[in-house]
Amino acid sequence: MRDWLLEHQNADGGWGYAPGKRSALEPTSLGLLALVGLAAGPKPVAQGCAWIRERCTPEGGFAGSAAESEPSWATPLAVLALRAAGCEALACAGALAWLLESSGRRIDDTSTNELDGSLCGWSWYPGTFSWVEPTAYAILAFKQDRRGDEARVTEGERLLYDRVCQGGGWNYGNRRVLGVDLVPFDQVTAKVLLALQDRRERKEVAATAEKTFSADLRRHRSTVTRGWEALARDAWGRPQTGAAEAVTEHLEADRELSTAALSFAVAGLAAALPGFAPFRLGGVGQEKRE
Amino acid sequence: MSERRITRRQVLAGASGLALAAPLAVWGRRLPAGPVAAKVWIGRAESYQADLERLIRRGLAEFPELAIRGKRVLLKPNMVEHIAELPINTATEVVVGAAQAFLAEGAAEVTVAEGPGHRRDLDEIFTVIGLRGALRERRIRFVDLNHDDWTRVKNAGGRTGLESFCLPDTLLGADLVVSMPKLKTHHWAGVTLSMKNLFGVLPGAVYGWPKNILHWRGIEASIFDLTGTVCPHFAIVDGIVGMEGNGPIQGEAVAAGAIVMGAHVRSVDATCARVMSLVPERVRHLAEAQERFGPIEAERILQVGESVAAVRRPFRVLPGFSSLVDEG
Repeated sequence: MRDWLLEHQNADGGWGYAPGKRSALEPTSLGLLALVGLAAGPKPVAQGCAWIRERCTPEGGFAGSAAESEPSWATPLAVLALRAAGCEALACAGALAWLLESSGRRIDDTSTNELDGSLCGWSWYPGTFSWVEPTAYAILAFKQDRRGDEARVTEGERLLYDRVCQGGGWNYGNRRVLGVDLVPFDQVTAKVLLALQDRRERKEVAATAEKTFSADLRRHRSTVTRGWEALARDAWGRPQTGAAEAVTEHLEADRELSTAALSFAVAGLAAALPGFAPFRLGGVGQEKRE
Repeated sequence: MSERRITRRQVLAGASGLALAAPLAVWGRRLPAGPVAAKVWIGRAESYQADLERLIRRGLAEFPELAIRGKRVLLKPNMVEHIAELPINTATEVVVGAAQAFLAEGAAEVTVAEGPGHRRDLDEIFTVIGLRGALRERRIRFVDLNHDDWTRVKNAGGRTGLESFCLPDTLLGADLVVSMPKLKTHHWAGVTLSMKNLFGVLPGAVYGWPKNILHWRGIEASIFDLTGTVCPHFAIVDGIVGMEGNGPIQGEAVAAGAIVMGAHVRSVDATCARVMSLVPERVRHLAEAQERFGPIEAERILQVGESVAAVRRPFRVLPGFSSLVDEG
């Protein structure tokens, strides 16, 4: 994974979603995290940090790419990456300040979706509703910064509890539409379990964790889903034997995917466990692999 | 940054890699004078085991103006979710049949591309529905539009209030953009056909999962603006097994046994509505769509191939859309 990430780091220091693609905040943040965990050396890490720093907007968040000027939903991932790399503390503070100020919109009529539209988390795109995945990322970034007691974080957690699917798990953020229960998505569920790893007293969280971690990681085909779930298992103290092999099983075939960088970055993060665990609360991981 | 080939469409629009490109040009088609203004072809297939490549080629033969030879073709199916037994996605057999048909007609290349609005991880659906293996066997490229490089293009519609759309470079690099929806009802829009299918071209990396800005700005307005900006050249609708009721995900199967095709997407959608025993004039986004994408009046559509009557089936709609039903 390290070699692939090094080979496909763009000249500007970032990563695109696939080789040859424009650098973007999400793959760069995850790629940078993976390189830190895999002890890739200072230069590529510094280049990745510099790319993210150059995305800093006047509002404080990080833009999604050089082609954008507004802060991106991937800002929390960038904060986590910069913290793990030990750089850009000021930029991180600015980004977290922006996150505190930004939120999804409230809606009054939720009769069709049966959810609490008054709860605010974080949105994907400015001026839109709050959704599960960006909310999970933001909560995790604040908690890693030891700011889990922020009122916005508490409200974000309430939003996640509100959106849990019947039977457990989370999808993009609708648990029921027009009277029909929707299915959870395993990748999103893993991300929420990371965000709520310190909320084991909540029945719906504990039940979802139990159900998720009792199943075999290989039930998914996707490298990225397996990888995120491996990270969640680590955070919950429920690693699966053979997880590293499971996560990399399809990695070779993933080279052709439009999201190859996500595959290699998340697989790299899973491979760096348990010594490097940027998503485990309090366990950014100083014991990097040599 | 990867190089992006300038397409014929962009030259027409005068957009040469500018950060804010001009709207894509209408694809040089002028509706003929007189009452008949668009042609729509219906082919019959009892199942997905039919020779769909041959069937689709038969349909393509009705549209020589496509001038497929040498062109880069992008097929945009509808891939949402996989729930066993539910006809949610454009069938793999139809996508593969279409790809093979275009290649047989001399297309320089065919790319299948989609950007699902709910699931980020396309890999699971892609593999489970068999599309991954089928395309790989035939060396046909697949692009996840949600994570593609994109270019900001001026909104040519004007109803959403959005100044521009970020459109994937893979889409912009195609000579022929073919919308390939499933024949389905939709619990917010009434029906989801070739124009509504364009929601899936917008990259989720910019707009999210779901692409919620389109709902905030209005579904009908968004369909109008996206159709006017993307200007799809052709539509091939998978109506072999469609969906009624609580579409686009939770409805029930209806075997209409039809493939519907045409170069005027509004007319294709209107014909599809008739196949579903719905009145297209009562479907808001069809009624309000631009005339340059074809008429919706039956008397102005030249129906070739099978007749609508031959494949028409009653599609149940949710109570809020009961006015769409053709009681005749």
